[in-house]
Amino acid sequence: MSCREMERLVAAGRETEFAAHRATCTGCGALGLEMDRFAETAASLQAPAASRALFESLYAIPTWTVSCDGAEDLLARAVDAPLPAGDRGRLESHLSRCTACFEAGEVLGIARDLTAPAPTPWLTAKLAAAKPAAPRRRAIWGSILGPRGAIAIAYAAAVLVMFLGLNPADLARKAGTARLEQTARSGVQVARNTVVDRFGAFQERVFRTFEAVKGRVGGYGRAALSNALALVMRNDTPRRPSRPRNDDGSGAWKLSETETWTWRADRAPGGES
Amino acid sequence: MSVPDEKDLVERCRKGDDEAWRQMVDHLGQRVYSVAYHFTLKREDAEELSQEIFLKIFENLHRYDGSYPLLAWVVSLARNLCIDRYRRRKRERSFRFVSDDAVAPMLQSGDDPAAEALRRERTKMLFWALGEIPEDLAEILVLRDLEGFAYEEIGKALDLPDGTVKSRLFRARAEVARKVRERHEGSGRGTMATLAVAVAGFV
Repeated sequence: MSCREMERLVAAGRETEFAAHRATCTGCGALGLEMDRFAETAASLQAPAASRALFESLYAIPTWTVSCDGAEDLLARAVDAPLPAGDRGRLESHLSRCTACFEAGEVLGIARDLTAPAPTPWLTAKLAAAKPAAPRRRAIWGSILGPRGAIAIAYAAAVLVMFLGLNPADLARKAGTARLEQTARSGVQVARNTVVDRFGAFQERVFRTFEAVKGRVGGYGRAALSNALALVMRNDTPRRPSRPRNDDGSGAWKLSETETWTWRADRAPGGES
Repeated sequence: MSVPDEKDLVERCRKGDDEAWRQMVDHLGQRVYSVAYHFTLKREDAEELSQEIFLKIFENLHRYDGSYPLLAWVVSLARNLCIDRYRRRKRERSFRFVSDDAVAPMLQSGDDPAAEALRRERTKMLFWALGEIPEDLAEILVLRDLEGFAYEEIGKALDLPDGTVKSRLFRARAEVARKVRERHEGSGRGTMATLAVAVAGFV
């Protein structure tokens, strides 16, 4: 038994119109009567009395827990030193129910337990580079024994050897130059009898001496350059030769040797490694 | 007991004043217990719920700004706890079997035993019906008709406009009445069926 009008008025909260409607509608009249009866019942009910024991337990709440304000203070104190047993119990009781304070306590605990993180290598290098450079005193032996020092010493030794004439190639050149000078000297002696010849011999000696000096300087320079290049580009590993090819000019592989031919450094053409 | 300045009382409680806290319990204890009882209908559960509510009050004192009555603030704070209990009771179908003992603390003893028995039956029916209607209607009915809160206080506690409080309360009352009538009609049909079976048995 439902009345659409009653539902509409009830949903709209129009109590006055509902009161008028219930006077004319049988179903709604009965419902209104029921409502009045239970409103009367509800109004006649008295509040159940709370026991004294309940009040005592409510009074005691501050003795076994703390408020959020109190929890903040206790958490802050707990960072520096352990709390007394009573305070610790009250705080734990509060934290067991209050998520916000529990999280705050966890964060404080984490902050206390954190250790200083080690900087990453790139950061260390960057920080070191950012620092103003202190005047550095390089150890003499350190610079001498360093790679650049060793290369400089090697070059100096090579140049010294060359200038002292201890290089075999240089010795050979010197021998050749000496023979040339001897020839020039003997040639001049043959033509020493007349003034014209003597002037011509002087002129010839100057020219030959100039040529000898030029050859010596050029020889020293080329020797120094070749020695330096050899020192820098020295490579002990013999290069693998190209595979044998046919001699007919086509550039094709020698098929019969391709299958059996293996390269070994000690048998490489041109000598040993 | 004189009505204390509620904001000042809360401030003193926040500062750890034990005497202020005792005043707070005296001021609100009976009302809180009453609300708790109406949502649980069991003394032990009501006491447990009251303790939970006061615990929540104590731990949330810093949230009270004094902008509306302390009791309304307490109800808004306790609302979820009460609704949880109400749902549990509905789940356990405790409202289906409202005992005499459950309603006895709310009844005043009168001279007329018959009228007293009728009132007891109606009270049991009222709490049964409260368990049958939606919880948003039930809570508003408890606060207004059983606890006597003003519309404004209910509006602040439940964060609803006054108009909504009124219309929802009206719907709650109508729903309770409808449930009771349906039950009466059902039991009437049941009685008639039992009578018919009995008559058939005689015949």
